[in-house]
Amino acid sequence: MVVEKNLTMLNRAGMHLRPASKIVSALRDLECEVEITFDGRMANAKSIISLTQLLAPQHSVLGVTATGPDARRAMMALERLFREKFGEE
Amino acid sequence: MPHVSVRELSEAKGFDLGLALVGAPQGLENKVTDPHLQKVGLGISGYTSFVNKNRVQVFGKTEISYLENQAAIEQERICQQYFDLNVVCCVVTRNLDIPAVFRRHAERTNTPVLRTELPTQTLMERLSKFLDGRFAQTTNIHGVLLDVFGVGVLILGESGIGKSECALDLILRGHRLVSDDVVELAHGGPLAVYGRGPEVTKYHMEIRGLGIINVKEMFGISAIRDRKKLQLVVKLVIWENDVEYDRIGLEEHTYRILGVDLPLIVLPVRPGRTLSTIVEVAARNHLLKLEGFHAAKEFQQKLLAKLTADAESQAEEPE
Repeated sequence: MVVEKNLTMLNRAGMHLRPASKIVSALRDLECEVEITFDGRMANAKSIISLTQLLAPQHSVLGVTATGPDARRAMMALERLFREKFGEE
Repeated sequence: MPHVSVRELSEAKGFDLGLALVGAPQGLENKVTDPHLQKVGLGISGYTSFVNKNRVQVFGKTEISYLENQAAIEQERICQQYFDLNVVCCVVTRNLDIPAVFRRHAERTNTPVLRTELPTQTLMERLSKFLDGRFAQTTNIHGVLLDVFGVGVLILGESGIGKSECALDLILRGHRLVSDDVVELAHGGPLAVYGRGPEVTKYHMEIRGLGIINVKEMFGISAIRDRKKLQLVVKLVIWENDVEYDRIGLEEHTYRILGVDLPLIVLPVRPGRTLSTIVEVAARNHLLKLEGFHAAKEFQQKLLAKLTADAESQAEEPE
């Protein structure tokens, strides 16, 4: 199963270490691959290092593609994290 | 379309091009869209049919002295015709004096002119390298790239399988990290792929339980490398009891990246298996193969020779 969506970084600081680690934790036990693209860069959403090199600031729109049996659950979890600004301002 | 602006050419670092702008700064934002170079040659004799205006135009001694040896009216005609092509930019080598008529028409058509003290051949070699790098097809891959005994080893595998831990073990054994988790890949010539880390994350690793570490600060300059050619791909997979893994190594497997086939080793992961040792040995084995020694094939040949000899002596023995 493949689920695709655009998600917007709403938190002020953008994709720094904490949001990245929250994304990795949310996806850890899900059976799927999640790819996030921004500004020509591509990241594996299960890696903190990979997510941070996206250099995605506030208001940036990220392309998210989840592939695998848990793709839908993964996307729901991500939508929630992005919507809730990763628990930040 | 990929492109390089003339400004970037004039500011290029690390390639020792020595290019300085000497005319028509209005054209600095012109875009070079073809990585090949044009040695102008006959283009400055009035025969401009094969001048590709998207290429950097190189003027050496031949072109400049040919122009200077023409009558004034002819120089005017040639320069008018040539610069009307609106070529992207001109580079003059050997710090040659630039004829006034050349400058005038360059200014008229806003064609930037750069000059270097390098001889034409040297300039063309370096400029080609620079442009090839900038126009190279690139891609990102999730994996770890290390230099193990000088062999560029790319470790692939699912998240959490232990790539970073394996890499850390290799660093502790004195090998060098290029990038962890994200490797930017680009062609370096038709048959070579080079990898490096993204500027912001390079030399950093995430080790579960410890967090982010900086390998350069922790282990020093000898533990890292900026860029490395890929020579071997090691794929870590979860050990499954009903899958038969390579036991003899007679068959060669490959992994294709950016159209280049690289030797592939599939390593099953199981608790108690020291992956770094196996990766290190794989790199040594790769070096042996480069030298023409293939252990499995050598062993097989020895075995077959022995079996043939034994069969013959069996046949000779009286019943």
